[in-house]
Amino acid sequence: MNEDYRDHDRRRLLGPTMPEPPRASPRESGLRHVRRVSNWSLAALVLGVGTATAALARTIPVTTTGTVTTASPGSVTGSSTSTNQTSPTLTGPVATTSASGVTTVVASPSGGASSSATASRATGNAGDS
Amino acid sequence: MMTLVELTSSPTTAWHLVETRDNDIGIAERAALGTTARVVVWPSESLTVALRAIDHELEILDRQANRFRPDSEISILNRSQAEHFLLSAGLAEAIAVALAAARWTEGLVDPTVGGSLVSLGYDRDFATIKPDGCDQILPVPPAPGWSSVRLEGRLCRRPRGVVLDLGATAKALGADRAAMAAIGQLGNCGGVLVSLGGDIALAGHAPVHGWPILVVEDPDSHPGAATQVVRLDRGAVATSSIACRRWRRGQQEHHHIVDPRTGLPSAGPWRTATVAASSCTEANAASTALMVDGGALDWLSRFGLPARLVGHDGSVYLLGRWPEEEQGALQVQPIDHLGPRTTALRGTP
Repeated sequence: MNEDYRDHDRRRLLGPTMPEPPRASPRESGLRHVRRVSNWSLAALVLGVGTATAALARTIPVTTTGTVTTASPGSVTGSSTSTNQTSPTLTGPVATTSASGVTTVVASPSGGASSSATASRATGNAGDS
Repeated sequence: MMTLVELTSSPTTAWHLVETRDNDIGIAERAALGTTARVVVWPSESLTVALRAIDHELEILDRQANRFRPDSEISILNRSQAEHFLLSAGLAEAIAVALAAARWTEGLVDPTVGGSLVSLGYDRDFATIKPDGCDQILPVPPAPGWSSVRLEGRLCRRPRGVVLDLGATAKALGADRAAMAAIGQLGNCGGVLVSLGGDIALAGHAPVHGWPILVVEDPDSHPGAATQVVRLDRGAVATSSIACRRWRRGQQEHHHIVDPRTGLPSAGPWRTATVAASSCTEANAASTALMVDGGALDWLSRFGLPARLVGHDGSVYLLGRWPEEEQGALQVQPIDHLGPRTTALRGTP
């Protein structure tokens, strides 16, 4: 699946379309090229995560004071503290590294449960990466 | 499907709950610092407390380091004709971190690129920049150089006319601060993940097998780009990319990552660089350095930080201990390469 570079001519990376890796190096510190899987398969993965998230959405009542409680079967409820809780096991991604901002959720201003998740690019200024 | 958490009266700080199939965690998002903030907390009932702490940190950072907010401390500094300033502890820390990043990256990440960015047209909130604007192109100067800025405690000396831009480090610093503030409010119980535009900092205890994070480029500009889910149990991960925040001036297209040596948008071999490190600030400094100069690979290899790089043709390269497999563990060493700072990195601003 992956292949190591075996370039013994140590040169700096030159052009915008010619990423030249450093000379051959141990696997622990060298640059490895990852052969791409089908773009369509990967796009389907991303789409699938979003679809599954929306499909499994649940209603979350929110009090006027901002206290969040959950009402889903199997959720953590009540007043127990985390001191005695064990770490959960998460099944799907909870964040993305997209530099333009993570997927933004458009919520119903009324606080209702009718809106759907959409992706939108965050724009702005203070943090560039 | 989702509701609004009204933590303050300001609509810009309203958190939206995000649905998840994992019932033990709470997730919320809102706009912040010109991008999207996402907070993930376990146990889920800790979410409200965490969000309040994070709100506080983000508001402070915005008032200190937002170059496009006229009343921010850094805007006042940049407009001033004075050379010496007594800064707030928070801005002093932000500038100290920026200077430490410049020193560590051997100048590839430089907070004095503000003047270059202004000349290139990035002189206002990015949302208000016309993507195909035809404004006249101003002469673009190289960055004056980070070493021209001196900081001793809260006392800063900045040569007249040098425009500071903390964009390469402030967002990551915000993620670090926010994560630590949240877990502090939670009594170090449970775990917190804070993402500011994809710059992700962790605090507290990770879920079993770590926090699952989807490594992906901007889905709008590169919908078919390769993705990977990695699991991070401590530290941070940050991404720099030229796939977003692009605009035109005249016949030239620009992006926001500037090479301080030329004052022009970087022309390195990578489209996107993602790095994992012990802190988000460090990870973001490293990812930005990789974007500025592809030769920084040699530099980064010395520190053993895992990295995932995407070339302009979409090819993916992995560096160091970045896992190859899906759901692979992304492990970072608890070493702070940025070195000591004038104030504690995660201290109260």
